[in-house]
Amino acid sequence: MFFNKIFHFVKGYVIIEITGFYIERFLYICAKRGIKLFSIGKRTENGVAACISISDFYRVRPVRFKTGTHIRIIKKCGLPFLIKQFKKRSFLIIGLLLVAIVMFISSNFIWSVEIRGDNDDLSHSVAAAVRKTGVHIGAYKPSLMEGESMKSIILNNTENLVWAWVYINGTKAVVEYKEGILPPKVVDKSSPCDIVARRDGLIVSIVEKSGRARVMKNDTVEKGDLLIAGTIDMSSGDYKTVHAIGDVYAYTWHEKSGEYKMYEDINTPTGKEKKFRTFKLFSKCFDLFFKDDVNFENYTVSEKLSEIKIGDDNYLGIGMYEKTYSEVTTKRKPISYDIAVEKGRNDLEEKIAKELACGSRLTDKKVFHEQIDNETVKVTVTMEFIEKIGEEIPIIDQNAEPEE
Amino acid sequence: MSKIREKIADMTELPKDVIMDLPRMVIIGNRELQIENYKGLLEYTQNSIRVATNNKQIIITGAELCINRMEAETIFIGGRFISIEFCSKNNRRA
Repeated sequence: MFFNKIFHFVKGYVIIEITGFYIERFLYICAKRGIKLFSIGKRTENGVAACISISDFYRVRPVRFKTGTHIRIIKKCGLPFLIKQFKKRSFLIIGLLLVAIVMFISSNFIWSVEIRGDNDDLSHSVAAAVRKTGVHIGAYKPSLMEGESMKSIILNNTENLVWAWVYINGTKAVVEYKEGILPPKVVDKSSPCDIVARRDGLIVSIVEKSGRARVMKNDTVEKGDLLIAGTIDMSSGDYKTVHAIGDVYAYTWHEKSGEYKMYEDINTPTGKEKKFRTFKLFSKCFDLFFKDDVNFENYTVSEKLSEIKIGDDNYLGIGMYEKTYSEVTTKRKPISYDIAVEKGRNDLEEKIAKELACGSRLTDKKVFHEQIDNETVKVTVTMEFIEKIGEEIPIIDQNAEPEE
Repeated sequence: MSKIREKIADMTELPKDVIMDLPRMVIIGNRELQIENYKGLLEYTQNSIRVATNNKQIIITGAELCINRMEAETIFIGGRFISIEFCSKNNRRA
């Protein structure tokens, strides 16, 4: 049935209305004479509608006279009629052809380069390496080198990469990379250094592997105090310097406090929106607005980029960037005292966690809270950890001889 | 004459629609009907179609009836059929 429809469309057909007394006879005579009528049955007010091919339409005339019926063309359908219509609009055809040619030519170039990765710093160095492969905006696609060659150039020109690949999706080049994990730094034992306290604490344990310990268990230290000295006095009265190595664990106390409100701000959209569109043609952007003033007092911003593509990933380099400002009204929703305290506690714990050294162990935690006024709570979090507090500080002494 | 033809068809085991000039009908559910060897279209409305064959009339009643295609020997009818009746040529349906 579907192929029949395509066949009829290509050959062209007309929908006619047959009126008169002997419609059935007309239909039968047409069939007997080999005039093919199809889709007979769309009843009109006066008669029957039927489809007939263009070539058969001219053979209907004698049958019409014989049966005394009347025929009226309701609609002309199919490709021949479309071609006839477009013949009158030659400039439209020329325009369409030109657009097609421009699209075809421009699709042979790279119009955008996208770097996909988590590390922003690394993305910059990858972008620089990608330029060396010849992939840049305006690059002619057939002249690009093979994927393996591009991969090796990117890997050789960027540090800390384990894998990279350039996908050419239509007019867009997408570079994906995987960041490598750096091996631990090799301790340079030739440079002498001391180990000092990074923060105040109570020493829990001290293990010196190189150098001499200057504190003992249960000693209280302040920030900057010497823990393991890299300078060793010799029995001869001389001294030598070494690279101090050791683990010093101490109790440390972290205290943070903050004021938290007993309400939450909830944004409700009012439905008012302002959209600013930018037309993106290859690598150029054209603003479709004059002023980007937003008169809303409170608003949220959302961005959307729609790009024309063929299939899943073949970008044509044409797109529309839309920035939408939605007005919102802010309402205060009261929250209970306990929720405000809980919110403050989580926030302060997060702040403390950022200060900690790797491998720290929590030993005690205290939360204090008090209501300052009707809508404010003051939360104080005190946490006790056992953490590594040693920090290497180089010894600057030109006369000292390093130990071998 | 038709009885002789029927006997010949029985004896020779040839198809009766060829020997006796009878219509051959193919019906698909109650949606499509194909009648080969029809002799004319007598009535055509949305609710009934009357087709003439060699010695009988076939009356198809139903809803949304339409003729999908008409050829010299075959007629293709579509719609939702309720009944298909055979009447002799002289008996007209009320």
